[in-house]
Amino acid sequence: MDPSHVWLYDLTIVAGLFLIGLFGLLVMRNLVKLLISVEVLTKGVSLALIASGFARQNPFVMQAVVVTLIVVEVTVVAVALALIVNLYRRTGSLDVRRLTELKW
Amino acid sequence: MTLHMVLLAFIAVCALLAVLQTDLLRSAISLALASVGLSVLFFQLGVPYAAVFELSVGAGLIMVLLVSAIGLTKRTPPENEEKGKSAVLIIPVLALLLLAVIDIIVFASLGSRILPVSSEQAPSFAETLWRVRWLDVLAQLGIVLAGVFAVLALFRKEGGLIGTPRDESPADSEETLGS
Repeated sequence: MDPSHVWLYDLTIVAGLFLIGLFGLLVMRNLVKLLISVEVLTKGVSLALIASGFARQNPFVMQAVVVTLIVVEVTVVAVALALIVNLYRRTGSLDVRRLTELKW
Repeated sequence: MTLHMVLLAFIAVCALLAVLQTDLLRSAISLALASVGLSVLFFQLGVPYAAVFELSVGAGLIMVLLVSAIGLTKRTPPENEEKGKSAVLIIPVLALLLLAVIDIIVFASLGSRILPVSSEQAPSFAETLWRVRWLDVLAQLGIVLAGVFAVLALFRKEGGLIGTPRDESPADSEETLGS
């Protein structure tokens, strides 16, 4: 395989990271674990953007998009962790099965 | 090429460990290691700004936030949280192996059939960020401000800084005032 097409291998790991993240979101019950699964999904998105930049031989635009993505990612993590800590103070647990207050 | 493959495998293994570990602290450390691997991969691919952001924010700041949140909450025993899914833990491992087989078969047969892209002179990163993607920078500013206000609102105490804490009941406050 041509070494300039090495980004094709990145796409495999992107699919793998997506699978791992989705698996965590579907199976795990701990709120922090769910957030970590979302983070794994976001790593896959970052890698996919950089790989697509290399596929178009113009990685600078995708680099700028990845910088934006990382800023959004850290904001989401901060707000989600604040929500998780508040929920823990209210319910005393990190288990999603106990969050039934809005359930009919 | 070999380093690239090793880094990709390292990222996949660390991500898998981050999801499958029962201890939250070890999960957070595995996630930070995956971020470090991703940033080294970005350096190797020649996108240094994304690599620096991934290393400082993705590995550093998010790790600090996760460890702080884990410290603020009590660790739950694994047998209550992780019971009954040991049989399905093998699914992501099998999926990764399947993807590796597909990778070897399909991508190796692609060869040089992928169309080359026009090799126009690309603008630099700074020009791209400040002139082409300037709206993204403004949006980042708004998102960071929104995040800061959201965290402040979530951690505020009722009645301001000198007011009663949230978990203190009003009856207790009246008794304290009366005495």
